[in-house]
Amino acid sequence: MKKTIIFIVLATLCPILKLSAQTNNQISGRVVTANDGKALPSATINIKNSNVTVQSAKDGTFTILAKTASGTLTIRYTGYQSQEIGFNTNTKTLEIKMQEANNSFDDIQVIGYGKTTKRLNTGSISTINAKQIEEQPVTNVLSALSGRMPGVFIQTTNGLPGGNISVQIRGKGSIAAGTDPLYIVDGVPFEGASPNGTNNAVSTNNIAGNISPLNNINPSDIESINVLKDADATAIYGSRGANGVVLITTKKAKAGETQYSFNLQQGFSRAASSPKLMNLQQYLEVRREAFQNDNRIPSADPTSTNYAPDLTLWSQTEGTDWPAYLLDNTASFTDLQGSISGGKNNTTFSVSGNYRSEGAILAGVNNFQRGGIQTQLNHTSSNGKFTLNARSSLTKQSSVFANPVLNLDRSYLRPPNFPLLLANGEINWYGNSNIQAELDATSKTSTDNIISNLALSYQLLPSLSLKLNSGYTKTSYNQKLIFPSSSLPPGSLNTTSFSQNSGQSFIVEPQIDYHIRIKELSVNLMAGATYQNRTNDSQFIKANDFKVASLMEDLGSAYTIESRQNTYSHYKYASIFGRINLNLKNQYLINATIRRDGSSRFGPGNRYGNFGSIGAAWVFSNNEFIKDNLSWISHGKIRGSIGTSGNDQIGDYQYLSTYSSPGGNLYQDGVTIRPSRISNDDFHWESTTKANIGLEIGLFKEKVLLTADYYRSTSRDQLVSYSLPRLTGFSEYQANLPAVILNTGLEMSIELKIINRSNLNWSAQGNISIPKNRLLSFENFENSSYAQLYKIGEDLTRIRGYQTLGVDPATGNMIYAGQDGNASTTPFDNFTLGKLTPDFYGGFGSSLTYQNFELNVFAQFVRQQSKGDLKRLPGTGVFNNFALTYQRWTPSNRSTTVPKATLASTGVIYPNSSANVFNTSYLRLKNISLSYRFKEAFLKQIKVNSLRLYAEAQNLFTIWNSDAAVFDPESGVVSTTALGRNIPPVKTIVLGLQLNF
Amino acid sequence: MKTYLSFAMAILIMAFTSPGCKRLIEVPASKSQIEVQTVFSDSTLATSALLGAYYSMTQSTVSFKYLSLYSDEYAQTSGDPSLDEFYSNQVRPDNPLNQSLWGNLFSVIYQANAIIRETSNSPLSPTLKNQLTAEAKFLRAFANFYLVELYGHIPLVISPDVQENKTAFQVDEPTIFRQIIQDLNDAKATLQPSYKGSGKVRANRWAAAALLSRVYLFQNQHQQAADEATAVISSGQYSPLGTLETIFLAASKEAILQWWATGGAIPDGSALIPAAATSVPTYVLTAGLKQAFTAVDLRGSKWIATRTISTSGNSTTYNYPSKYKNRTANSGSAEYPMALRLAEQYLIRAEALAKLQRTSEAIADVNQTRTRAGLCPLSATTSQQDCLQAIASERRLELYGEYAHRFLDLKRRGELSAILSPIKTGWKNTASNLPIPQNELIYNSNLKQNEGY
Repeated sequence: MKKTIIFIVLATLCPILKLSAQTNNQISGRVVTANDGKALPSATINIKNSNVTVQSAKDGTFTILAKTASGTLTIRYTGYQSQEIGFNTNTKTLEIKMQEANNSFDDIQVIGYGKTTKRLNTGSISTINAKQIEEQPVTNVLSALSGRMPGVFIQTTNGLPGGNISVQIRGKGSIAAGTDPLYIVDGVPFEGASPNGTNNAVSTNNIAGNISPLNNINPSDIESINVLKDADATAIYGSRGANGVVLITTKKAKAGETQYSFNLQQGFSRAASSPKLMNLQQYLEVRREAFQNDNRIPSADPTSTNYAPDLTLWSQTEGTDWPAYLLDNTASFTDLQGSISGGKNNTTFSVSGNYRSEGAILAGVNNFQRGGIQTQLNHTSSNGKFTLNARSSLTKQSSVFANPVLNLDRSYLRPPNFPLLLANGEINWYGNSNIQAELDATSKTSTDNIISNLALSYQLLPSLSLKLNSGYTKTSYNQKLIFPSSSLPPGSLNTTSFSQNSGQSFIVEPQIDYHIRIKELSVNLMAGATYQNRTNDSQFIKANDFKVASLMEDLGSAYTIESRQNTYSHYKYASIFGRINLNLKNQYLINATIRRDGSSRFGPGNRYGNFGSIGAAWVFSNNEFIKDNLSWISHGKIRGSIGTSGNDQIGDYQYLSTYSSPGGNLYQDGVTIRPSRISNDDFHWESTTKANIGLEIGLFKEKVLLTADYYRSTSRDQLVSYSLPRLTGFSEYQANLPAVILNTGLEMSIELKIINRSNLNWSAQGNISIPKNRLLSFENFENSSYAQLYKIGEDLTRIRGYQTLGVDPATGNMIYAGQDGNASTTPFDNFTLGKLTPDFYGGFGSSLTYQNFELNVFAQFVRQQSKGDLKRLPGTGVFNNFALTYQRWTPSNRSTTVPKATLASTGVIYPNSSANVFNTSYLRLKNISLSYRFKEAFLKQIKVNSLRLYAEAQNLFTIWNSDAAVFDPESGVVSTTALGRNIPPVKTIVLGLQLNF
Repeated sequence: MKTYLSFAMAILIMAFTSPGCKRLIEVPASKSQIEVQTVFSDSTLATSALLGAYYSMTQSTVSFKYLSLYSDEYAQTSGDPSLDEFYSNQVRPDNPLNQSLWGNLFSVIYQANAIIRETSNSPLSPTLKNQLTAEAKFLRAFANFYLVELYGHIPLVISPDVQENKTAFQVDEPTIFRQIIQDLNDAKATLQPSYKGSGKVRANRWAAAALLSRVYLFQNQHQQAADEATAVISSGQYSPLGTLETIFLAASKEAILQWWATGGAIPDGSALIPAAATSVPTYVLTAGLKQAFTAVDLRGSKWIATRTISTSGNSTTYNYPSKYKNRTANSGSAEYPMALRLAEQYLIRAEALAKLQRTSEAIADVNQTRTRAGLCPLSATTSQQDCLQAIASERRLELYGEYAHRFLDLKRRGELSAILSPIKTGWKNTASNLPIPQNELIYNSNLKQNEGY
């Protein structure tokens, strides 16, 4: 193997050596940085209009032989501005000072297994940097991306600290398998899926829902986040790149004087928005009217069908706003960050620590805490050939939340006059629910996370380097859900669920990079391999009947064990990959990748898959004609790519048909086993073909930067937990869907530098994405489980249901459409009423720096529809309803869209009709931050390098149709499913202080 | 250049696909799952798989109290909308309780089908194969009986082939009943009169005969119904009828089949029996049912408990079902949920014989349960019409709260509308079938919703 490489290397070097022999004018020089004079090794020095190119040595020196007596040298170094310097026969030694690139197109662009510049990148990538993250007081770094990146749709689906955040990159390409992108932290994959899955008892009965593992990453440790979107950028990640790739790069230690830095934040949060329900008087009026309309009389007898305690027993004058009681409390938080970094020449280090303590808007006792330590060591050997980067981080998190989860979707719809206590002082358990009592239930989660990375590289030849990247991640979750007797309806057994989940993953990735130059053509070759081994162990025990209420966290005190379960899974993954990158005159670029993956998640025979892509770009601004005639175009590039990537986000061992033993489930005192899964050894990789064309333009010395992308992705063979009718004995099994899903979209972004002076800077930026989703085809669709849910040619997220034709002014009843669209007494249930895919979304913002003040404003917007939470007709059931239903039909209000009050259940029709689909478009002021940096003169007196005071606000206000029957336009309705436990996002105001010395 | 690259790539691919590298992604077997082939090549595991099907059946018993709400037996005090839909006979297709009733019974059918299919090709001993198959067929018949009675139009699922079943069509009721009768006859032919293991918690020959006699009665095949009931009664294993207190105890004399329950407490215990003296029972007897028990009827005092709760000066008395006494595990003499018992066989035979004009024999049978309950025996001169009336009333009282008997009796006698429409506002005749659960229609578009939903 090694011999082959050396052979290839030598063979390709030969032509260059031959060429060099014909020259006569020798020029030597040294490439250094302009600001501190440090040597820049491996800078590219090229004689203009020739094919002569050399690279600088480790001390920055170079020698180049020119065939001509005079000419121009072009010097390039990634992250620095390119320079051109003339030479003639008198030129002997040159000192070339490289200026750091201050325009964004020459910034380093991190890509999969390497880096390039934005100017030379052939793929579609969006980036957010440390500064934009720091401006936002978020717990989970994913929240900070919201609205900032075209093509990246982020929704806070649970606003509790540590709650889940859903990320969708370029649309929904999969019907059901994970749509989580692949997360890579400093080159090592980070498990981004919730440890519990969606149907697990722990997440189902937990107010916090699914845990987002990204909470384990401290936002302040992050240098940049790059989201890779098209095939060119993602195909190198092969089977795991279909949903896009999120590359998280942490801050690197910098050489120099030892720096101490502290950052303290203190803030407060409330719910960003709350639903509009009827007040007590409106509620009582509608309820009484319902009884009257149905010719019935409210009864105080619990066994009567006309029992209505809200009208006969409870207070008619005093009411409570239950949504506010439950979910609009003030939460405070404190965040403290500190770091020490420094080092000399070849070795740098940093140690940083962070701590955050946060309350929640939920009623009851709530606290979320996170603390972590990160250490980093970087070393370069004195000959510059060997480098070592070691980084490890340790994060500990613990959260305690009140857990009124069992009736969450009903609790907030209790009648306003629902008394928490009955007249005799006892707890009112009407409807088996009492909000105050249920707050006694507790959800406790503690998480430990270790990430340890080691990257080694060795430059074997000036053009050939070897790298070895390895990482170990271990995450353990320990969750307890405690339901004491006081939190449950009388007669229920108290219960505690204990869950432990521990996952560890080891990865090693050797990599070879080779660079050659053939005349004007620069060639970069990369080849590598991956081996990953991940194991996951989990335990779940549900114990009942604790005799001592204060010992409910002690398993030994439980009288009975209701269920116990442990799972063990093992995942292995191996791949080889390669990339070739061709660059002709920095003007024509071709990038091709290939990857072959093997995954243990598939049955024998289906384990391997091939993925690849090709991308090309033309940097037309480097074309001589444009340079000479259209010099106001400072950067222009057209790029395109096509390729495939895959998805293997499914559980392990799904290809086996198995029985398992729920240990506590005995029969005849003997053990029972029951089918746990039916087999499908036939399923294989899901694949997505992505095509992308993009245009990037920088105008007037990059005062205006424009980027536009059009993409078209087709996903095939979706891996799904194929929903089965229960008559088969199962509710789902793993399968590939013979469906083709098309996602297309247009993304545009603009950045403007309006004023750029030494003491006044004003810039603005904005982006918009217009996604479209369509189910293109589906083999044997009519007989599939999806025939009712989807329609060929329509959006996958379509909202289906009954079509209303308005309220009959004569009777006050809702008129529904039959299959032919005309009014009918047998309403048709499968009209398309809307879709959840937004019509468009994006964000815009502006920054203003005046002297020592800085102001940033950023707003996010989405145009979308959502299904609302109208569960019942006005007046039906002992439940409050949204305020819009107060506008119901009455003999004096005949032209309305809300039917008359009634006690009769209309079954599933009204909640599933177009009356319950709302326009939930919104414009949200995502962030405002104002900061003041103290003047240097003052700082010198107190011996401080920098001192900054700031105020930040997140989600400060939202413009939306607040009559819609949802909690919040972003999180939607509150339901009892783990994925739908949509606690609304919070608005936060923060004051902070940042100090470096 | 290109040649070298592809050469290098070829080497890498070869290295990668060689047997040594293939082992890179081999994973050890899961430690918490057993493959199907392993299950049915081991007699203990195969038996455990059968016990798993029984366990699922035990779990499904909790759904039948909703049918007591649905008829005129119980009311509920919880205000829970899903329960209220049952009580008001307005079950929505997306009602989760309806979904689990359907799902749990079909889960039993899958497990039974898997046992029938997998044992046939297994290396198990012929005796064990026959035993497992016969019990599986009994369970399949039991589940199918309730599904067809409650939903009317159901698909016939007789294989564990999910690919095929997921697009199954509904069939007519006679087709389902033919399968039920065939399964029960097969089971009866193989099963022994003795019970496997301790207690009476696995089907024996008489369990198959007892269910068969019920099925024949429901099909108006009165002679066959009487014959099967006679076979059970004259086996001598279950008669004479014991006292009211002993019926629901584990392995009671009268029990023909019970489901085994952990700690001798039925899965419903904590739902039916209120926790504390101050708790309002969730399920209470309707005034109509309470009044149907005459003062001398011992069942009225032994099987109905009362609780008087006073709130702000007003006291309310609640009557709640008390056939079973144990609220939680290990809290008293073990009780198991009853599936089939002798009293029902007497009442089946009584009804069948009365229909066959053998009224005097019928009177003797119905007097069995009447006298045990302390009622005076029917006189020998009772007319056929009065005798059938007495049997209907006796079934209502004797079998109240058990396995939806009341609802099924009203339904087969065509009396649902007459009895329920005066007491349930919004009663519709189409409510005689429960709705096919919403998700079933979504995931299998060949299914048709029952009329009226």
